[in-house]
Amino acid sequence: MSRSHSVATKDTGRAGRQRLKSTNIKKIDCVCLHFAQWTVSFSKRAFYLHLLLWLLLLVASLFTLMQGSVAISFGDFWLLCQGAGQSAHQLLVWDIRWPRLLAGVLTGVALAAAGTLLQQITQNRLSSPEVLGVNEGATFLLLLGLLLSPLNILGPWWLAPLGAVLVGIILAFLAGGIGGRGYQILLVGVALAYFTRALNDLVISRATAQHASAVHSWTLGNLANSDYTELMPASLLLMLCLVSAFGVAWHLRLFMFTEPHVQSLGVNARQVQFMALALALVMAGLGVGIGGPISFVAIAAPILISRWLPPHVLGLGNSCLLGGILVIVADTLGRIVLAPNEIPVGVVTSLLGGPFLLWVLLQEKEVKR
Amino acid sequence: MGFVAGKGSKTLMAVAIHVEQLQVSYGDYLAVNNVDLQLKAGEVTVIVGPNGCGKSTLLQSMARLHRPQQGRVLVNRHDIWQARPVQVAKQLALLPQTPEAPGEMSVLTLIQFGRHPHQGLFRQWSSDDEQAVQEAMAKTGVTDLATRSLHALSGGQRQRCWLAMVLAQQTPVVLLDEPTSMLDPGHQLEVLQLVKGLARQGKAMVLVLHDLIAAARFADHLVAMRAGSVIASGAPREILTSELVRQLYDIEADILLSPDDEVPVVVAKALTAREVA
Repeated sequence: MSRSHSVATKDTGRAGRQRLKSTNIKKIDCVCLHFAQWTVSFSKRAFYLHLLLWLLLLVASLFTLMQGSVAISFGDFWLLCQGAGQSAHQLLVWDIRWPRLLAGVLTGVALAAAGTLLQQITQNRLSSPEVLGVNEGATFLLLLGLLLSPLNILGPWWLAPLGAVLVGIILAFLAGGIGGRGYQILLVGVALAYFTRALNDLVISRATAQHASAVHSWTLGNLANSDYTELMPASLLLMLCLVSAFGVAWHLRLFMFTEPHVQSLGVNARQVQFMALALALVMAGLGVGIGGPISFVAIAAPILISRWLPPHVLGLGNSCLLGGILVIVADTLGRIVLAPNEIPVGVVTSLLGGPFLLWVLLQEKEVKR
Repeated sequence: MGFVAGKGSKTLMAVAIHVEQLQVSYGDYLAVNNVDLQLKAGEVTVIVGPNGCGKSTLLQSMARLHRPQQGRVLVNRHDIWQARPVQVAKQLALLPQTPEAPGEMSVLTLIQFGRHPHQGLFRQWSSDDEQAVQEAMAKTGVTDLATRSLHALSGGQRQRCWLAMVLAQQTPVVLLDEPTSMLDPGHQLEVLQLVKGLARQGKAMVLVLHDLIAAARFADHLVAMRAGSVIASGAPREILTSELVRQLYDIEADILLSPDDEVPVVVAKALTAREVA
């Protein structure tokens, strides 16, 4: 606004600088990266956790590529990486496991990102795309595609984000707006989720018996039929959403303060809330479109990450990585444990993740009491 | 000629906020009705009035939190609704009535959040930020508390930390909504003295207070509101009368003058008869 004024503020700043000589207080517990006039700062713990999670993702990816009904040794894998090795192995690793790995990571990242945004908007640990019925809505459109298609195949991936956004619109309509901290949406969402879930079951029960079981296993999350033609456009859209999400997160981190306070820090709280919600919906939908409505990841990844970070850090990047890791580890375990039969990835995430989350939360309680 | 122009702009700068015929409502309910105010830099302005008289709404409208039905708020002669929120936040900081933050957060982290309007996604920390945070901590005396968690602080200490956060925003105008309501008399005095000192350094400090005695003592400019309207405005000595107190709160009160400096002291005696009946 006033140019004269910004000058005036600067002047007081300069005067203050002369008054205050000691500059011993640095931004504590922070890693600041400088480049020209740009500075990005991270909480130290978030930074190191991030590095650790990248390492874990790498290890988990190798594990995923090498393990399964046919295990591949390190030596063989090394040959494969150089473009050599048995053609059967090549086919297995590069054409089957690699797209499956990619799909797993992308699904985990998308769901975890959506969960992080939703939890921060509502300031409620319980809100996640599955609780709000967003995943169910995305699933519903895909199932509808199946019901209407003469070939009896699931609808194309992009139906899922569309379904998620539709659920969001219905939610906002029913709740009469997003409301402060999205509280209204949370209430209506819980109710709507039951309804959509019932619709999905209805669609599944209409399918032929043989189909029904396949479709049901898909609704528990399935990465088996991933291929590049679907992954490419979906992952591009996801990247776009993620970049925007990181932009929004800069303001969204203030949502731990009350709304008047957020506003007085120069942030249009409603606008940020809307954008974060829209991004969360699209990303949850993308996750469902790529890997199916894998349960638990969206709610658990942000909670686990926040357990390890200072309370003011949103930890979006860390949650995303953890989401990816959770999904591919669960998927690989699901392939190995009862091989050659597969346990759906969503079942594994819930089976292993549920007790783990419970343990973390109970521990948190002990620390506080 | 140059001198005159300079002088002219200086007097204009002195008026930090113009509130012009401001009217704010929630649905049908008119919370602020046709309010005109001029708040000056270097002064402590205190808004008093009974619960629900619209003083908090007035404060929040000045901070661009409620869009008025009519009228405008000018900060340094610029309409706040013609500016982006971040530009307003560089001119004007608000401490809401009951601020909240995670209890595990450290004092320093909290105060650093006051720099948000000056930062960006790729301008997350600068030497200016560091300077402002240090200065704010020194002024409010919380430098020694920097690494403590918020939940480990007393009410008075915590309030000083919130003030430090607001000061770190480095705005010429600071709005505080009942900054002393949770504090004991000693800590109230501490906060109010700090506010006075900040005003003397050239900031426009605007407070909502319930304590008339403190308001009379610390206000350069007292604004009395009832039912959304300003019913009196001026220096406490000039406007604070038994009649005004009756109009504001429906109580009978004596106004004494403090023996040292003749600051008015309000002594409430009883509810006005018609209110009891």
